[in-house]
Amino acid sequence: MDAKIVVLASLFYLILLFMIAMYAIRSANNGRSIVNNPYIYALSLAVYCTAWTFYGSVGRAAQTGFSFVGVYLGPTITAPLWYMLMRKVILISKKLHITSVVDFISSRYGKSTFLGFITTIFLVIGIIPYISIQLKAIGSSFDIITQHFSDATFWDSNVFYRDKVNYFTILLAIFTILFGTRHLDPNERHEGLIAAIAFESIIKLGTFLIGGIFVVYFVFDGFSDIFSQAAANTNTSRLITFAEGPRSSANWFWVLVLSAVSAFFLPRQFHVAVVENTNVSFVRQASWMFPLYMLVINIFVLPIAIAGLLKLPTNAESDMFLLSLPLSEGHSWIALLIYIGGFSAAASMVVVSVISLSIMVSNNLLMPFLLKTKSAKHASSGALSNASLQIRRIIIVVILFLSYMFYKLVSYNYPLVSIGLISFAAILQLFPALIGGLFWQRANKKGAIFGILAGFVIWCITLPIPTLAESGIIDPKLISEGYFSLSFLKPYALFGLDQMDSISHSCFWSMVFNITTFVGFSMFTDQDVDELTQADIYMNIEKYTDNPDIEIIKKEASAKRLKQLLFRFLGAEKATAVLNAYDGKISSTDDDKATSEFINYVERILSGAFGAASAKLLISPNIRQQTISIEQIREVLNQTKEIIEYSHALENRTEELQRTTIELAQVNKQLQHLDELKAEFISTVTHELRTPITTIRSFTQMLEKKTDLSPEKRKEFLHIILKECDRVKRLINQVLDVEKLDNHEGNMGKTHVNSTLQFAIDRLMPVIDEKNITLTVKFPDIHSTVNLDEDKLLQVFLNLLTNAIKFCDTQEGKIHISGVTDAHTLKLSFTNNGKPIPVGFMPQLFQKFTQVKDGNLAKPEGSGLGLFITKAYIERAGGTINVFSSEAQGTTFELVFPKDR
Amino acid sequence: MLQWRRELRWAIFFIGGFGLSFPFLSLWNKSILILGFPLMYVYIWITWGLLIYFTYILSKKKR
Repeated sequence: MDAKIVVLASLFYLILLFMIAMYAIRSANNGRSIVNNPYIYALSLAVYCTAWTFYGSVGRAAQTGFSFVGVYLGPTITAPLWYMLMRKVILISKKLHITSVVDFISSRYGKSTFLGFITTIFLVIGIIPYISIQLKAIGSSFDIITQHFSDATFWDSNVFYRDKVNYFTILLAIFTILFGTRHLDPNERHEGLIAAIAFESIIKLGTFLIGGIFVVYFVFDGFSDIFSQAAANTNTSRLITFAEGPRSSANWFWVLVLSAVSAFFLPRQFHVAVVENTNVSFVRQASWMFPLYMLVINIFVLPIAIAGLLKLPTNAESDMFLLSLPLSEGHSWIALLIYIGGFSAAASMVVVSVISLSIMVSNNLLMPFLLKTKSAKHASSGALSNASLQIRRIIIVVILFLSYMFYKLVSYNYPLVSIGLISFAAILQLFPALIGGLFWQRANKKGAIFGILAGFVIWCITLPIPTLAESGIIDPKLISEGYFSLSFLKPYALFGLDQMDSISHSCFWSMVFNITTFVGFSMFTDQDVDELTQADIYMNIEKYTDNPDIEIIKKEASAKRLKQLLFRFLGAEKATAVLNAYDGKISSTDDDKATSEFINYVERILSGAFGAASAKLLISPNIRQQTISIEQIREVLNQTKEIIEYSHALENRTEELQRTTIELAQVNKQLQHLDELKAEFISTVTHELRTPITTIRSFTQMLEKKTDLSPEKRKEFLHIILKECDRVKRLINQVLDVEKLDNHEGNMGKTHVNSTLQFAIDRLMPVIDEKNITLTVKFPDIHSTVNLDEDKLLQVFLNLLTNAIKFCDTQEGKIHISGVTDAHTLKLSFTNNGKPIPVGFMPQLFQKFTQVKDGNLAKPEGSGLGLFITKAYIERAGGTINVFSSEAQGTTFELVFPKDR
Repeated sequence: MLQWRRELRWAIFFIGGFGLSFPFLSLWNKSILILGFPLMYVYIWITWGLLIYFTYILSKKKR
């Protein structure tokens, strides 16, 4: 493709990014932030996927198969823990206005200027190679896409002013300066930049998928075609399995560890995940969205690597397969899209990394020295703020220049992934101090400083220095002979350990030295006052988040002087804005004495703008601090902790009491309901008892007084008396049955279903005939039995039949009884064509003392115990009862018994 | 409940860590194609997807 088109496309894309960033800034100024949502947050985390992912993963897959994927699985494995860890980190950072990972470390260890200084130097050395591979990716992709026009082109990598990477680097520097150093923000948040990064994440994912789909479905016939061809080819069959062995297992393990740590503690990742975070709960959604992004972007990596090996010439650069494949097939426009995706991946990483590094270098390397100069002490209002911005702009240019130089001298000859992993190993050196600072009270400044220094030295002698030796910049004999010609100091076989690859070897030894030194110094040396108070904040951030400002050390300062400090260092506009945003009391009384809350606020604002260490230098001359011993401060912290714990315990107790009150109210409500039911039951039972007793009494009276009654009449009266006696007996039996059920009494037996059902029907047949009800029975002629006494099963059937008679249609009553049996169950149905049971009544249908207020009867008959007893008996037999009721189908009670064998 | 969720997070982390490390990975390291995909590819991507799914479940706010 013509280089002019590629350059124009790159420029157009950068202009588009400018426009998106500007739109986001304008929206934020109008109070409508477009980045304040979890999706943009998750997309901004995808800045993790750089040119390394876009091009390098394919190159790595083409060389070693599956090993490329470890870099994405590491963060995914730790994703379930993100919310626990990152919530703490974000809360601390918001509380203390922390603006970089170096600030986070130096602040924890007593706002140490020296710790900030060495960590910054170390990170700059560690990250520059990583930035350089992005520049390499831009250069290589430009060369590949324009290769057919190379003879006629102006571009020549060997001539400085004709090197396209040069110009791309300048463009990226302009973009970074425009959106990363617009003003000195105490929160270091950049809405425009984050919007652009999120957009770039979409572009790189989209274009990678386009490239993958093209290769898999247009160059080949799908995944199975590629993989089956790979399996059949001796050159590619190794890629569909892991190359096992101690070296690859160790490498896999360390890549998982490195990537898990880097996904959050690389300076750019810390910047987007912590500094730019607007809502801590976004971490919840990002913990699955970001791994999902990585899963999707990696689906096509291995197929593309295999396709490249199968289709492209053997001398084709494997890192650039994604771009070369569409070009070799004559689809240069698809190649252009992929080029833009790769450019996007590289550009986003470069911009965010350089911004985060510039903040670190400015706040931790240069500002502490600048503040000690005479000119800084007499600087006019806002001069230092402007100086800080100017310094950052210069740092951006310097870092990009150094990265460019590293690319020209070293990275040019190495695969993208190899250099990237060296940077990851650098970040690992901060991990012990970071995690120790968060979870180990005793972790102290000396431990952190010496641990990081030890790790850094080992990292240097085992990775970057031998890499420089391999590229011929220093003597290559170093690798074979060792440092100072000592064989136990060979950079890739330190102390004779030669069973590991270079990355695992470096990680192993650097961690051994780093952790041992960190723990050793922390155990055997003491913390100072600042370290102790900061450690308490980091360990117990929850108590500081819930409480506005806990005063550990009494501080005194002039409110007027603190305000002047803000105006002097932030400038009038910014200082006025931060003072307006402060909603606490500035001075405790009418005099000029600042409140401790205001002193802390000013310090935090200055920390945000200049870093914790510089802020300490700025504010210290303006405050008088109570002299306090370590023991006293420990006592204060313990007391504070006890008070907070007591307060939390009280809160928990109150919550518990509230829960108990709610539960008691519910129980009380249930008891009231039961009481109402019982009262209703007593009323029903006494009514039911009084009716037959009244009848018995009146007929007995008649028999006594009317001696002239005919024998037929006497017989008829006696029959009525007997019937009413039975009714009384039945009612009393039911009440006794319920009591037995409540006490879980009763014998179990086996009862024949057919004969018992027939017996129940025979007993009720006179009533059925009397009411002109049509009864149909469809029951298979089988001899099934159920595990229930005969009396109880009879009562179940009588209850259901009585109910059916009671509630079936008064004009044309119909009752249908049916039975179905299979290998395991026996199903019986009792259906009547009466009015349906009200839906609202269904839930309490089988409860004690409840009766349907049906339309057929003015007052319900019976005790309200029939269905309760029926259900209890059926369940005792291991069965279930269901009810279905509708206007069209009537009401059906369905009994399902397990078949007795 | 909070404690239970925390323990579940650690459990998923350890299961994911073991499941995607050697020697457990060796079990799937065979030159076999399943529905046209290498066995290792299928195993890694399914485990990856399951880890994301469980993290998604854990990320939901308790109601």
